Amino acid sequence: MPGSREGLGAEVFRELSTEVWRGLRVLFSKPSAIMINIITAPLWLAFFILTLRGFGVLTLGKLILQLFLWAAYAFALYSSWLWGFGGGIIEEGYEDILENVMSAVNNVFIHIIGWGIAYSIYTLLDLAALALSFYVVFGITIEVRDPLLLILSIILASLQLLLISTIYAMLVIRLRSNWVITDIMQFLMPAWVG
Amino acid sequence: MSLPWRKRSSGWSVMKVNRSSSLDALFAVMVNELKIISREPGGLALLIILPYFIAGGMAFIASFFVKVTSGVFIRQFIGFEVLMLSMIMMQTGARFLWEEKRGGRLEFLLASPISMYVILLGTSLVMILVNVGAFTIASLPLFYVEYGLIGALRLALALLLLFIGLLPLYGIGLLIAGLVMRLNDADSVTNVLTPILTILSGTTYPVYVLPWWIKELIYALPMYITFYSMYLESTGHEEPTIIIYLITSAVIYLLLGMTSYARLERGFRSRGI
Repeated sequence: MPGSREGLGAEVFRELSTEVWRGLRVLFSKPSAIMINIITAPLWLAFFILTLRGFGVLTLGKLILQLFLWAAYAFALYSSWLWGFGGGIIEEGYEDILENVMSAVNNVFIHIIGWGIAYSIYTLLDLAALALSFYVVFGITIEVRDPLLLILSIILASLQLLLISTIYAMLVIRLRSNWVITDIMQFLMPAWVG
Repeated sequence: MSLPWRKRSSGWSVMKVNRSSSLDALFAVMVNELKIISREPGGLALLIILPYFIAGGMAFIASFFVKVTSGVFIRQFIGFEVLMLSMIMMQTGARFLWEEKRGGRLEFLLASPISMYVILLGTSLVMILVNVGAFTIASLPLFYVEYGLIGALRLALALLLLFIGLLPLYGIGLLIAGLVMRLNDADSVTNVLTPILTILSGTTYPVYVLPWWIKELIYALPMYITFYSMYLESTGHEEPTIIIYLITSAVIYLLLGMTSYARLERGFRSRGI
């Protein structure tokens, strides 16, 4: 019946919007932490570049720096999704929030997708912080040839990381020191995928 | 444990008993702290493998531009180790006091007959021993491969320097504890101070590229001196002046930390936690 299908669609959309809004409120509930992340990002970048100097790398061209910016964003995405999103699901599991979601009328799938959409929006701050850092430290601005392709890439990467982080969280939730594995995975995964 | 009949005897015996009970208390605190740390063996394993990931990852990136020799890698590896352990050590005192306060246990600890200095000394000593142990396990293969058996011997001396170098960092941690308690937020303070102190460590890059005032700050902090003295020791070029500098810095920062903590505790006792 078309009417009931539309009703179901509207219900799912309403639930999803509620979950996205809830996720955003949780993520933006500590503005001081966000500000600290943005302010300290150039310091981490300066440390990274100085350490390369320690290895003997004396000069870096503009193109290399642009590549570093996107590599840093890819690393930040993996790190953020595993720690923030995956860790968030694990925390919800420990605090019995997931159990409550499952026992209530809400759908766990919608809960996770909604949280994922909110998290995707939040990770744009990582890109902003990195862009600001590269500008402050090197005077480099992001060069984007095809903005549409960039947006599509970010959406696809977020979708992929949403699924990876969810599977990862389900695999390690029962382990005692799962943060150790997260710490290792955040280095291994970006290296693994090139 | 102290016995009542000994307490009633001469003053010398009382002093001996007090010292013995303080040592018992210190030992008990250390055993307890060790039990807490060993609850998460994964964390201990991470202490050993993480420097390989970080130093290895950076060497991998650098290898696209320059040839990374084993000598350079070992120097950077020591640098990352010292940096990582320094950050842990600096957070130890502040985190301990913050966790105890948040868990409602600090008031009981202050009211207990055991001095807080004994408790802080016990927790810090365990953390130093764990850090030195992690460094030993992580570095021994590298030192042996690069320098042979003599390298393993030099490592023993480098470990002693690391032990001394971690002491002033605990003192700095106690200074940070004052800030954490005043602002009532451990995470924010840590998140701001960690990148600043990482830059000011000077352990993984040539400090001469920095402006003079940052260089002076780096020399005033104990991380660079710890790293540099360990590196010189590992290559067989030990420098007594730097070791004396390191010991002096340990004494100064520990005194500063203790003074700061004494003020903090006075505040707790007069105004409450």
